[in-house]
Amino acid sequence: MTNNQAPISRIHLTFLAAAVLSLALGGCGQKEPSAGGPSGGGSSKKTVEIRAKGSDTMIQLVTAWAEAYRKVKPNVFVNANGGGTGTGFASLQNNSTDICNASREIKKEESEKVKSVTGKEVKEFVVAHDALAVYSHPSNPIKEISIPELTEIWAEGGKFTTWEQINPAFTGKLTLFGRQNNSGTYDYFREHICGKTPDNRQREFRGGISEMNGSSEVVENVGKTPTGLGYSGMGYKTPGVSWLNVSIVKGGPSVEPGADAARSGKYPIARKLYLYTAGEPTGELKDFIDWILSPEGQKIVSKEGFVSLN
Amino acid sequence: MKENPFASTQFERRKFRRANLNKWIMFSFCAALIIPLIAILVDIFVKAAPVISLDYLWLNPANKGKEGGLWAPLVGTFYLVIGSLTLVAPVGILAAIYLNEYAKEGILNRVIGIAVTSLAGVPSIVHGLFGLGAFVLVMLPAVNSVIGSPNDRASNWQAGLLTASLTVAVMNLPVIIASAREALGGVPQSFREACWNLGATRWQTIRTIVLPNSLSGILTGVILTISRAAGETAPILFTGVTFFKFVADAGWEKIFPYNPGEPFMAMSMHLNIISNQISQMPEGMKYGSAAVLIGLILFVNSFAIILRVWLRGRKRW
Amino acid sequence: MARLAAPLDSLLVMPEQVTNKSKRKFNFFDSIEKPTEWFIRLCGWSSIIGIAAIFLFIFKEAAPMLPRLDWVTFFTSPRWIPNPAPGNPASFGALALLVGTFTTTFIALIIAVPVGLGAAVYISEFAKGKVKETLKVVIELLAAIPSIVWGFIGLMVLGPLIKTVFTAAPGSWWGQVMVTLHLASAETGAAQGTNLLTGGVILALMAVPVIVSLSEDALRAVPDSFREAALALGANPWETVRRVLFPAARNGLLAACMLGMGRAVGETMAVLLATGHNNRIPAALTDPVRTMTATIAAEMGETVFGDPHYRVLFILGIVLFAITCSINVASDLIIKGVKKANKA
Repeated sequence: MTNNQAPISRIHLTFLAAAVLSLALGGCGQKEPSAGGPSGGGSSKKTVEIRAKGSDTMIQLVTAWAEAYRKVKPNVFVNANGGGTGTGFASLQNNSTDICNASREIKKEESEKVKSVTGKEVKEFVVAHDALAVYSHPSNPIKEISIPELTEIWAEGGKFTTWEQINPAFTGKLTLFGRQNNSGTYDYFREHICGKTPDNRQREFRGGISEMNGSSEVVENVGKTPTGLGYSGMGYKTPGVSWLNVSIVKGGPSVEPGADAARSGKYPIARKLYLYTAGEPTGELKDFIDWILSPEGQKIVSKEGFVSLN
Repeated sequence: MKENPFASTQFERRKFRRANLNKWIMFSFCAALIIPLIAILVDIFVKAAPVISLDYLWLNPANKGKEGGLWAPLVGTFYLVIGSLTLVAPVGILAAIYLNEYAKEGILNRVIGIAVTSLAGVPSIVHGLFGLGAFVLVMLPAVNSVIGSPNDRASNWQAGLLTASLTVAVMNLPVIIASAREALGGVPQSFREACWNLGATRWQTIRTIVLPNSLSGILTGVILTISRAAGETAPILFTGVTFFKFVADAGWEKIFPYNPGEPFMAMSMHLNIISNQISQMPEGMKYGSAAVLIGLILFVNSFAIILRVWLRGRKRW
Repeated sequence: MARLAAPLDSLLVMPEQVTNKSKRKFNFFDSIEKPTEWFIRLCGWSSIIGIAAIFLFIFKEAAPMLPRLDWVTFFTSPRWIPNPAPGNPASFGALALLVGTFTTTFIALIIAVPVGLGAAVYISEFAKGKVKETLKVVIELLAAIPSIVWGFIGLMVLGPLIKTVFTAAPGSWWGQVMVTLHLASAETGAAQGTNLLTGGVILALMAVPVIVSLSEDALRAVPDSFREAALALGANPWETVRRVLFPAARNGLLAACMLGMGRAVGETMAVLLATGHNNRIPAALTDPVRTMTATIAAEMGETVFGDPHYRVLFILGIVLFAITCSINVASDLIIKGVKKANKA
């Protein structure tokens, strides 16, 4: 027995040694890049990291900028993260991000908070326009909708739950798709569509809305649901969905979401997209924002389906 | 004609038929589990086939994952697995040794047993909350107060590989304890007794007899831990994984792209994001990353199975 | 047993052994015996430390909100508005989330318990040789598939299928059946495909391996003498299973189902992708729902650390932790009960 056992346990030990060795190597490897990695700056040409965090609507846009900017300046890494506009402002406070991408304007409390924590004034850059489109299934014959109707559909206590209440041309229960409750899109849509209560308070969204984690998820689900209705940025349009023309009052002239309509403010639910920094940007950060505002950066805005500044 | 007294009666025949029917019903349960599963897997792999190539594994994702390959998330998952395993394997195996070789039957042992089962049952998202509360919000600031300076942001660690590995390690602790304990329990008591009788101490017995004889079993458990660490998403969601990070396209930095204090990409998170958050993601890329993740897990698991079969063939007690 | 034999070596110190010891070469591994043993002891405590730390840290993050939360609203209202417009009060009504978690779990169990028990009985009592080994390996691989992949399957494969089956023209016979049986709402059918049923089926597939492997253990733990006695009395295999094995392994099977339930309650990524993420109390089988786990996963990344929303998500975590812990401890006690009974 012992004679048989000895060589076998040696094999075992070889196994163990191999396992331990590979673990140890892996462990070392893991730490290695801290010397020469993007943030370490130890290598010959200095690499700079810019962190951008905030709106999920803008993650598509900021990632596209980041990828294109590497061709302009290979040593600048822009790391884009989502998480929602609110999260972006919170990160701006504790200096864990350089840029907050925001799909709504900063609130007064937020800018005061940033100032009180970092001691720097918040600097705002309008980088693009966006129209919030109201998406429906391509098979849906209804192609127009007014703001008061949208209010009845989306707001808490609203009257509309089926399509025929809006227009007898189409029947079925309304299946609503919106965004999750910390996105700037959610905030913006609530403010501009849900309206006010009689005692002049903002109305909330009704219950029973599917709250999606990403802008494209809304569009994708509307495309799969014949009775679906959803709101999302204009840039997320796919061939699988159609959007509704929006009028300010019922029967009034309706406007299709589009670049010019959004820029001129004719389209009623258009908004600006912002970048915020704490204090005046300097160095590489300034260059990056200048590049975004340049024609080259703005070309990417239109390519990603948003509305460029001019 | 005389009736055969041994022929089964009507009642017996009915009973037999029913028993047989029940057996087939139970078999069909197994089939109902396995056939759709295989159909689904085949479906995924067939839809993924057009995109899968060596380049798909070797290139970095581009254009938000719509183009390019899977290198950055793959390598992130690799380091996550290595990191969590380095942290959990020694602790878990030693804990199993304690439970199997040292602990006496009693209240303490019982409490530890219940702690292991409870830990195994904690939902993965709660592990994620724990990782956020403990490692990201408490441990990292402490680490940064030692190694980083408040003015130089680059010197401070963020939630990243280290925090995520720690979280996944805690999650895998009960898995590894349970499997290692089973492996140790499989070593016959007589082996230990023989060793003690030769005058060896407890530690010498463990080191020279118990561990070598249970090593393959322990290794099987470790492999299962690998597959679990590679697939988990919820625990790393808030503890360091990121949706997109630049990884060098060549050179050493492609092999070692992440340092422990930096957010990283992981396969599971990548699949999560591209399957429903990116506009107009090509179907092939979605199925491709799902197929690679499944393939990875099945590959790792088949190692464990082969090892076990080999172990059983070799076992002499 | 093991514990008794070891101390003998300290009593039986033979003279030649002592000389042996003094002659023996220095061995590094032997020299670290004492510290190693202490370290091993510490590691043995690791799981207790782990579980205590989890409880402590989650509790710590949730604590400031615990006295301030309106618990009646939390458990009785489905109005979940954690991030209200400026000037409005937040409303943390988690009823719909609780209902979502329990309905998906319930559907999962309805499917997984019979399938799991059936498969376990087949594997343990009927299947032989190669078939048995193959089935066991497949069940094991089933358990290894990560939850995100299950979510993906729910979203991409099962969802469209369920949507096709549960959608009918209003007024058609299938539409009538669905409305009467609350399978789908009249007008929309299974609208998105990601809904209660999809989530439930996916959770069932995830719970089955747990139920199968634990039930198989429980069945195997029944002594063979029971089977032989049944056989001697003329019972056929099915009768043996139903009248002898099920009663004998009752507790173990119950515990297996409970642990399967624990897995379904705590599952996150699969339900995040497959249930439709809709904060409502479902009225039909194919209405979209939202679970507690999915809510934490979707909203935690979005909250501002330290605000009430963030803390309420941790409170949801505590609720989940409490549910799964009690399930686990209870099933552990049940299994231990079995072992004692068998020993006696």
